[in-house]
Amino acid sequence: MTMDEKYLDLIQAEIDGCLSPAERAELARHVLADPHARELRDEMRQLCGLLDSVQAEEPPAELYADVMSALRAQSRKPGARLPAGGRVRAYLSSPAGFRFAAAIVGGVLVGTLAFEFAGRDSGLAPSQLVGTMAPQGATAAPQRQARFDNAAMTGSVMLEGTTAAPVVRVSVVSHRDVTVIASLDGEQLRFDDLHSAGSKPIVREAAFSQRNNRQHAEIAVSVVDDSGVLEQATLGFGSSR
Amino acid sequence: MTEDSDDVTLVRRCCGGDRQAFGTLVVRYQKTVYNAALRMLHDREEAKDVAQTVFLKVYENLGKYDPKFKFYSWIYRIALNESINALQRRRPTEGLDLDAPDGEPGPEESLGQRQAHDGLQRALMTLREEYRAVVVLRHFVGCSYEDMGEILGVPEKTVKSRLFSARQLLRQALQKQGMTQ
Repeated sequence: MTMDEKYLDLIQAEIDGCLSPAERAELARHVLADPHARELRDEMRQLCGLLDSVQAEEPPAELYADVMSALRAQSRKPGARLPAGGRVRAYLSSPAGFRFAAAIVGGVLVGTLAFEFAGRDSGLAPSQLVGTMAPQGATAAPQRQARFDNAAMTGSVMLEGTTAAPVVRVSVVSHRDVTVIASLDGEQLRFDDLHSAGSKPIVREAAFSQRNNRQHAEIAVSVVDDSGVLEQATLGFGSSR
Repeated sequence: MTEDSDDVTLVRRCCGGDRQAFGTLVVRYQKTVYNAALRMLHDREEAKDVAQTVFLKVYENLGKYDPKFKFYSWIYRIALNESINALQRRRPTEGLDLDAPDGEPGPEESLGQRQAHDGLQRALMTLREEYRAVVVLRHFVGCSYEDMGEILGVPEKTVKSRLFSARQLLRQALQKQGMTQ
Protein backbone atom coordinates (compact mmCIF):
# COMPACT_ATOMS: atom_id res chain seq x y z
CA MET A 1 0.00 0.00 0.00
CA THR A 2 1.42 3.34 -0.96
CA MET A 3 0.03 6.62 0.13
CA ASP A 4 1.02 10.21 -0.31
CA GLU A 5 3.33 11.13 2.57
CA LYS A 6 1.29 14.22 3.13
CA TYR A 7 -1.75 12.15 4.13
CA LEU A 8 0.32 9.90 6.35
CA ASP A 9 1.43 13.05 8.17
CA LEU A 10 -2.14 14.28 8.41
CA ILE A 11 -3.38 10.96 9.82
CA GLN A 12 -0.70 11.01 12.47
CA ALA A 13 -1.27 14.69 13.24
CA GLU A 14 -4.99 14.00 13.68
CA ILE A 15 -4.26 11.20 16.16
CA ASP A 16 -1.89 13.46 18.06
CA GLY A 17 -4.35 16.35 18.09
CA CYS A 18 -2.23 18.63 15.93
CA LEU A 19 -4.52 19.24 12.95
CA SER A 20 -5.80 22.65 11.94
CA PRO A 21 -9.47 22.84 10.86
CA ALA A 22 -8.40 23.18 7.23
CA GLU A 23 -6.16 20.12 7.45
CA ARG A 24 -8.92 18.20 9.19
CA ALA A 25 -11.31 18.96 6.37
CA GLU A 26 -8.72 17.95 3.79
CA LEU A 27 -8.07 14.66 5.54
CA ALA A 28 -11.80 13.97 5.86
CA ARG A 29 -12.22 14.42 2.11
CA HIS A 30 -9.26 12.18 1.42
CA VAL A 31 -10.34 9.27 3.63
CA LEU A 32 -13.81 9.39 2.09
CA ALA A 33 -12.26 8.92 -1.31
CA ASP A 34 -9.52 6.46 -0.38
CA PRO A 35 -10.46 3.25 1.48
CA HIS A 36 -6.77 2.46 2.15
CA ALA A 37 -6.34 5.77 3.90
CA ARG A 38 -9.53 5.14 5.90
CA GLU A 39 -8.33 1.69 6.94
CA LEU A 40 -4.92 3.00 7.96
CA ARG A 41 -6.46 5.82 9.96
CA ASP A 42 -8.80 3.41 11.78
CA GLU A 43 -5.95 1.04 12.62
CA MET A 44 -3.76 3.83 13.91
CA ARG A 45 -6.60 5.20 15.99
CA GLN A 46 -7.20 1.77 17.53
CA LEU A 47 -3.53 1.33 18.32
CA CYS A 48 -3.19 4.76 19.88
CA GLY A 49 -6.41 4.28 21.83
CA LEU A 50 -4.93 1.09 23.26
CA LEU A 51 -1.65 2.84 24.10
CA ASP A 52 -3.47 5.68 25.81
CA SER A 53 -5.64 3.29 27.83
CA VAL A 54 -2.62 1.97 29.74
CA GLN A 55 -2.72 3.40 33.25
CA ALA A 56 0.46 4.78 34.73
CA GLU A 57 1.65 2.75 37.70
CA GLU A 58 2.49 4.29 41.03
CA PRO A 59 6.24 4.26 41.65
CA PRO A 60 7.46 1.99 44.45
CA ALA A 61 6.75 3.59 47.80
CA GLU A 62 10.38 3.41 48.84
CA LEU A 63 11.74 5.19 45.75
CA TYR A 64 11.58 8.68 47.24
CA ALA A 65 13.08 7.60 50.54
CA ASP A 66 15.85 5.65 48.79
CA VAL A 67 16.79 8.63 46.63
CA MET A 68 16.88 11.06 49.52
CA SER A 69 18.77 8.60 51.67
CA ALA A 70 21.32 7.98 48.90
CA LEU A 71 21.80 11.73 48.48
CA ARG A 72 22.44 12.11 52.15
CA ALA A 73 24.97 9.27 52.14
CA GLN A 74 26.60 10.51 48.96
CA SER A 75 27.12 14.08 50.12
CA ARG A 76 28.69 12.88 53.35
CA LYS A 77 31.41 10.87 51.64
CA PRO A 78 34.79 12.54 51.97
CA GLY A 79 35.82 13.85 48.59
CA ALA A 80 32.41 13.14 47.07
CA ARG A 81 31.39 15.62 44.43
CA LEU A 82 29.21 18.09 46.26
CA PRO A 83 26.73 19.99 44.16
CA ALA A 84 27.44 23.33 45.79
CA GLY A 85 30.71 24.09 43.99
CA GLY A 86 29.41 23.27 40.54
CA ARG A 87 26.22 25.08 41.28
CA VAL A 88 27.94 28.26 42.32
CA ARG A 89 30.06 28.16 39.19
CA ALA A 90 26.86 27.70 37.25
CA TYR A 91 25.39 30.77 38.91
CA LEU A 92 28.34 32.90 38.05
CA SER A 93 28.27 31.93 34.40
CA SER A 94 24.51 31.85 33.99
CA PRO A 95 22.10 34.52 32.73
CA ALA A 96 21.37 37.52 34.88
CA GLY A 97 18.14 35.99 36.12
CA PHE A 98 20.18 33.49 38.05
CA ARG A 99 22.78 35.83 39.38
CA PHE A 100 20.75 37.29 42.22
CA ALA A 101 20.87 33.87 43.81
CA ALA A 102 24.63 34.11 44.04
CA ALA A 103 24.26 36.60 46.86
CA ILE A 104 22.01 34.23 48.76
CA VAL A 105 24.32 31.30 48.36
CA GLY A 106 27.52 33.27 48.69
CA GLY A 107 28.31 31.39 51.85
CA VAL A 108 28.35 28.21 49.83
CA LEU A 109 31.56 29.42 48.22
CA VAL A 110 33.49 28.39 51.27
CA GLY A 111 32.97 24.83 50.11
CA THR A 112 32.02 21.61 51.76
CA LEU A 113 31.50 22.91 55.26
CA ALA A 114 29.18 25.58 54.04
CA PHE A 115 27.18 23.01 52.08
CA GLU A 116 26.89 20.73 55.09
CA PHE A 117 25.67 23.65 57.16
CA ALA A 118 23.10 24.60 54.54
CA GLY A 119 21.90 21.01 54.22
CA ARG A 120 21.45 20.71 57.96
CA ASP A 121 19.93 24.03 58.72
CA SER A 122 18.13 25.08 55.57
CA GLY A 123 15.07 25.46 57.77
CA LEU A 124 12.55 24.43 55.14
CA ALA A 125 9.63 22.77 56.80
CA PRO A 126 8.44 19.40 55.57
CA SER A 127 5.14 21.02 54.72
CA GLN A 128 6.93 22.86 51.92
CA LEU A 129 7.78 19.49 50.47
CA VAL A 130 4.43 17.80 50.11
CA GLY A 131 1.77 20.04 51.52
CA THR A 132 0.01 18.37 54.37
CA MET A 133 2.96 17.50 56.58
CA ALA A 134 2.85 20.12 59.30
CA PRO A 135 5.86 20.31 61.58
CA GLN A 136 5.62 21.37 65.19
CA GLY A 137 7.11 24.73 65.91
CA ALA A 138 8.81 27.06 63.48
CA THR A 139 12.45 26.72 64.30
CA ALA A 140 15.26 26.85 61.81
CA ALA A 141 16.55 23.46 62.92
CA PRO A 142 15.53 20.22 61.18
CA GLN A 143 12.14 19.02 62.37
CA ARG A 144 12.00 16.22 64.91
CA GLN A 145 8.35 15.57 64.32
CA ALA A 146 5.96 15.60 61.39
CA ARG A 147 2.20 15.49 61.79
CA PHE A 148 -0.13 14.30 59.10
CA ASP A 149 -3.82 14.52 58.53
CA ASN A 150 -5.35 13.23 55.34
CA ALA A 151 -8.28 11.17 54.15
CA ALA A 152 -6.57 7.89 55.05
CA MET A 153 -5.10 8.67 58.44
CA THR A 154 -4.01 11.07 61.13
CA GLY A 155 -0.96 10.85 63.34
CA SER A 156 2.67 11.73 63.66
CA VAL A 157 6.20 10.47 63.16
CA MET A 158 8.66 11.48 65.88
CA LEU A 159 12.43 11.24 65.91
CA GLU A 160 13.89 10.26 69.27
CA GLY A 161 17.16 8.86 70.61
CA THR A 162 20.41 10.46 69.55
CA THR A 163 22.09 11.41 66.30
CA ALA A 164 24.30 8.33 66.58
CA ALA A 165 21.37 6.03 67.44
CA PRO A 166 18.13 7.47 66.08
CA VAL A 167 14.79 6.00 67.11
CA VAL A 168 11.60 6.51 65.13
CA ARG A 169 8.27 6.58 66.94
CA VAL A 170 5.06 6.37 64.94
CA SER A 171 1.58 7.14 66.23
CA VAL A 172 -1.26 6.55 63.78
CA VAL A 173 -5.03 6.41 63.63
CA SER A 174 -6.04 4.83 60.36
CA HIS A 175 -9.03 2.87 59.19
CA ARG A 176 -7.15 1.16 56.40
CA ASP A 177 -3.70 -0.37 56.08
CA VAL A 178 -0.95 2.17 55.83
CA THR A 179 2.81 1.75 56.09
CA VAL A 180 5.38 4.20 57.37
CA ILE A 181 8.90 3.84 55.95
CA ALA A 182 11.83 5.67 57.53
CA SER A 183 15.21 5.60 55.75
CA LEU A 184 18.65 6.57 56.93
CA ASP A 185 21.77 6.04 54.84
CA GLY A 186 20.32 3.05 53.02
CA GLU A 187 18.77 1.38 56.07
CA GLN A 188 14.98 1.23 56.26
CA LEU A 189 12.58 0.90 59.15
CA ARG A 190 9.14 -0.28 58.03
CA PHE A 191 6.03 0.05 60.14
CA ASP A 192 3.55 -2.13 58.26
CA ASP A 193 -0.19 -2.68 58.61
CA LEU A 194 -0.91 0.39 60.71
CA HIS A 195 -4.66 -0.18 60.84
CA SER A 196 -6.39 0.92 64.02
CA ALA A 197 -9.64 -0.62 65.19
CA GLY A 198 -11.11 2.59 66.59
CA SER A 199 -9.89 6.04 67.50
CA LYS A 200 -7.07 4.73 69.69
CA PRO A 201 -3.76 5.33 67.93
CA ILE A 202 -1.38 2.54 67.08
CA VAL A 203 2.01 3.43 68.51
CA ARG A 204 5.17 1.73 67.32
CA GLU A 205 8.81 2.45 67.81
CA ALA A 206 12.01 1.09 66.27
CA ALA A 207 15.67 2.01 66.24
CA PHE A 208 18.09 2.06 63.37
CA SER A 209 20.68 -0.66 63.79
CA GLN A 210 23.48 1.49 62.45
CA ARG A 211 25.67 2.87 65.17
CA ASN A 212 28.39 5.33 64.36
CA ASN A 213 29.72 8.69 65.31
CA ARG A 214 27.72 10.60 62.77
CA GLN A 215 27.26 14.29 63.37
CA HIS A 216 23.95 14.48 61.51
CA ALA A 217 21.03 12.14 60.99
CA GLU A 218 18.59 13.08 58.26
CA ILE A 219 15.77 10.60 57.96
CA ALA A 220 13.46 10.42 54.96
CA VAL A 221 9.93 9.38 55.92
CA SER A 222 7.22 8.13 53.56
CA VAL A 223 3.66 7.17 54.46
CA VAL A 224 2.10 4.87 51.87
CA ASP A 225 -0.97 2.78 51.25
CA ASP A 226 -2.17 0.63 48.34
CA SER A 227 -2.85 3.70 46.26
CA GLY A 228 0.68 5.05 46.60
CA VAL A 229 2.51 7.69 48.59
CA LEU A 230 0.33 9.68 50.99
CA GLU A 231 2.93 11.80 52.74
CA GLN A 232 6.65 12.43 52.62
CA ALA A 233 8.94 14.41 54.90
CA THR A 234 12.47 14.65 56.17
CA LEU A 235 13.26 14.57 59.86
CA GLY A 236 16.53 15.39 61.56
CA PHE A 237 18.17 16.35 64.83
CA GLY A 238 18.90 19.97 65.49
CA SER A 239 22.46 21.16 65.83
CA SER A 240 22.04 21.22 69.60
CA ARG A 241 21.86 17.46 69.70
CA MET B 1 3.73 20.34 31.45
CA THR B 2 3.28 23.87 32.72
CA GLU B 3 5.54 23.68 35.72
CA ASP B 4 8.85 24.43 34.10
CA SER B 5 9.36 27.90 35.59
CA ASP B 6 8.54 26.44 38.97
CA ASP B 7 11.05 23.68 38.27
CA VAL B 8 13.73 26.27 37.59
CA THR B 9 12.97 27.93 40.93
CA LEU B 10 13.35 24.58 42.64
CA VAL B 11 16.61 23.95 40.80
CA ARG B 12 17.89 27.29 42.05
CA ARG B 13 16.97 26.35 45.59
CA CYS B 14 18.72 23.01 45.19
CA CYS B 15 21.76 24.89 43.96
CA GLY B 16 21.70 26.83 47.19
CA GLY B 17 22.03 23.57 49.11
CA ASP B 18 18.32 23.06 49.79
CA ARG B 19 17.95 19.32 49.55
CA GLN B 20 14.23 19.46 50.31
CA ALA B 21 13.69 21.45 47.12
CA PHE B 22 15.23 18.49 45.33
CA GLY B 23 12.80 16.26 47.23
CA THR B 24 9.96 18.25 45.72
CA LEU B 25 11.37 17.61 42.24
CA VAL B 26 11.61 13.89 43.04
CA VAL B 27 7.98 13.82 44.17
CA ARG B 28 6.95 15.71 41.04
CA TYR B 29 8.74 13.50 38.54
CA GLN B 30 9.09 10.09 40.17
CA LYS B 31 5.91 8.67 38.66
CA THR B 32 6.67 9.72 35.09
CA VAL B 33 10.32 8.73 35.27
CA TYR B 34 9.45 5.36 36.79
CA ASN B 35 6.75 4.66 34.19
CA ALA B 36 8.98 5.70 31.29
CA ALA B 37 11.66 3.31 32.54
CA LEU B 38 9.07 0.59 33.14
CA ARG B 39 7.79 0.81 29.55
CA MET B 40 11.33 0.85 28.17
CA LEU B 41 12.45 -2.10 30.31
CA HIS B 42 9.33 -4.15 31.14
CA ASP B 43 10.82 -4.91 34.54
CA ARG B 44 9.65 -3.19 37.72
CA GLU B 45 12.79 -3.77 39.74
CA GLU B 46 15.04 -2.46 36.97
CA ALA B 47 12.71 0.47 36.43
CA LYS B 48 12.97 1.39 40.09
CA ASP B 49 16.78 1.16 39.96
CA VAL B 50 16.87 3.28 36.83
CA ALA B 51 14.56 5.88 38.38
CA GLN B 52 16.80 6.09 41.43
CA THR B 53 19.89 6.44 39.24
CA VAL B 54 18.19 9.15 37.20
CA PHE B 55 17.48 11.30 40.25
CA LEU B 56 20.98 10.85 41.63
CA LYS B 57 22.48 11.82 38.26
CA VAL B 58 20.19 14.82 38.04
CA TYR B 59 21.29 15.91 41.49
CA GLU B 60 24.96 15.41 40.70
CA ASN B 61 24.67 17.39 37.50
CA LEU B 62 22.37 20.21 38.56
CA GLY B 63 25.28 22.59 38.17
CA LYS B 64 25.42 21.70 34.48
CA TYR B 65 21.70 22.18 33.88
CA ASP B 66 21.10 24.93 31.34
CA PRO B 67 17.79 26.68 32.14
CA LYS B 68 17.31 27.63 28.50
CA PHE B 69 16.12 24.01 28.10
CA LYS B 70 13.03 22.69 29.85
CA PHE B 71 13.88 20.87 33.06
CA TYR B 72 11.55 18.00 32.28
CA SER B 73 13.18 17.53 28.86
CA TRP B 74 16.49 17.17 30.62
CA ILE B 75 15.25 14.69 33.20
CA TYR B 76 13.39 12.59 30.61
CA ARG B 77 16.46 12.50 28.40
CA ILE B 78 18.47 11.13 31.33
CA ALA B 79 15.69 8.63 32.05
CA LEU B 80 15.73 7.33 28.48
CA ASN B 81 19.52 7.15 28.38
CA GLU B 82 19.65 5.27 31.66
CA SER B 83 16.94 2.87 30.47
CA ILE B 84 18.89 2.19 27.29
CA ASN B 85 22.04 1.66 29.33
CA ALA B 86 20.14 -0.87 31.46
CA LEU B 87 18.93 -2.67 28.33
CA GLN B 88 22.47 -2.83 26.99
CA ARG B 89 23.79 -4.17 30.30
CA ARG B 90 21.25 -6.98 30.32
CA ARG B 91 21.69 -7.88 26.66
CA PRO B 92 24.77 -10.16 26.67
CA THR B 93 23.63 -12.51 29.41
CA GLU B 94 19.88 -12.38 29.76
CA GLY B 95 16.94 -12.14 27.48
CA LEU B 96 13.67 -10.62 28.48
CA ASP B 97 10.99 -13.09 29.46
CA LEU B 98 8.22 -11.74 27.32
CA ASP B 99 5.80 -14.31 28.67
CA ALA B 100 6.29 -13.19 32.22
CA PRO B 101 3.13 -11.93 33.88
CA ASP B 102 2.90 -8.20 34.15
CA GLY B 103 1.91 -8.00 37.80
CA GLU B 104 -1.51 -7.47 39.26
CA PRO B 105 -4.14 -5.78 37.13
CA GLY B 106 -4.83 -2.20 38.06
CA PRO B 107 -7.95 -1.42 40.08
CA GLU B 108 -9.87 -0.30 37.00
CA GLU B 109 -8.37 -2.81 34.59
CA SER B 110 -10.56 -5.68 33.36
CA LEU B 111 -9.11 -9.07 32.44
CA GLY B 112 -9.52 -8.27 28.73
CA GLN B 113 -7.79 -4.94 29.12
CA ARG B 114 -5.05 -6.55 31.13
CA GLN B 115 -4.40 -9.09 28.35
CA ALA B 116 -4.43 -6.33 25.76
CA HIS B 117 -1.99 -4.25 27.78
CA ASP B 118 0.30 -7.24 28.33
CA GLY B 119 0.27 -7.92 24.59
CA LEU B 120 0.98 -4.29 23.92
CA GLN B 121 3.97 -4.26 26.26
CA ARG B 122 5.32 -7.43 24.63
CA ALA B 123 4.93 -5.81 21.22
CA LEU B 124 6.63 -2.68 22.50
CA MET B 125 9.61 -4.74 23.61
CA THR B 126 10.10 -6.02 20.06
CA LEU B 127 10.77 -2.48 18.81
CA ARG B 128 14.25 -1.07 18.49
CA GLU B 129 15.10 1.29 21.32
CA GLU B 130 14.83 4.44 19.20
CA TYR B 131 11.30 3.48 18.16
CA ARG B 132 10.29 2.37 21.64
CA ALA B 133 11.55 5.66 23.01
CA VAL B 134 9.28 7.78 20.81
CA VAL B 135 6.24 5.67 21.70
CA VAL B 136 7.07 5.95 25.39
CA LEU B 137 7.59 9.70 25.20
CA ARG B 138 4.39 10.30 23.25
CA HIS B 139 2.00 7.90 24.95
CA PHE B 140 3.36 7.31 28.45
CA VAL B 141 5.05 10.63 29.17
CA GLY B 142 2.71 12.81 27.12
CA CYS B 143 5.33 14.82 25.25
CA SER B 144 4.64 17.06 22.28
CA TYR B 145 6.61 16.66 19.05
CA GLU B 146 8.67 19.69 20.07
CA ASP B 147 9.47 18.23 23.49
CA MET B 148 10.39 14.91 21.92
CA GLY B 149 12.75 16.66 19.54
CA GLU B 150 14.44 18.43 22.43
CA ILE B 151 14.71 15.25 24.48
CA LEU B 152 16.01 13.11 21.64
CA GLY B 153 18.12 15.83 20.06
CA VAL B 154 16.54 15.42 16.62
CA PRO B 155 14.40 17.71 14.44
CA GLU B 156 10.61 17.55 14.77
CA LYS B 157 10.36 16.09 11.29
CA THR B 158 12.51 13.16 12.39
CA VAL B 159 10.32 12.74 15.46
CA LYS B 160 7.19 12.51 13.33
CA SER B 161 8.70 10.07 10.90
CA ARG B 162 10.14 7.91 13.67
CA LEU B 163 6.84 7.91 15.54
CA PHE B 164 4.93 6.89 12.43
CA SER B 165 7.34 4.01 11.77
CA ALA B 166 7.20 2.95 15.41
CA ARG B 167 3.42 2.84 15.39
CA GLN B 168 3.38 0.84 12.17
CA LEU B 169 5.88 -1.66 13.60
CA LEU B 170 3.91 -1.87 16.82
CA ARG B 171 0.72 -2.56 14.90
CA GLN B 172 2.46 -5.33 12.95
CA ALA B 173 3.84 -6.84 16.14
CA LEU B 174 0.36 -6.89 17.64
CA GLN B 175 -1.01 -8.54 14.51
CA LYS B 176 1.66 -11.23 14.82
CA GLN B 177 0.39 -11.92 18.32
CA GLY B 178 -3.08 -12.34 16.90
CA MET B 179 -4.36 -9.20 18.52
CA THR B 180 -6.95 -7.47 16.40
CA GLN B 181 -5.63 -4.22 15.10
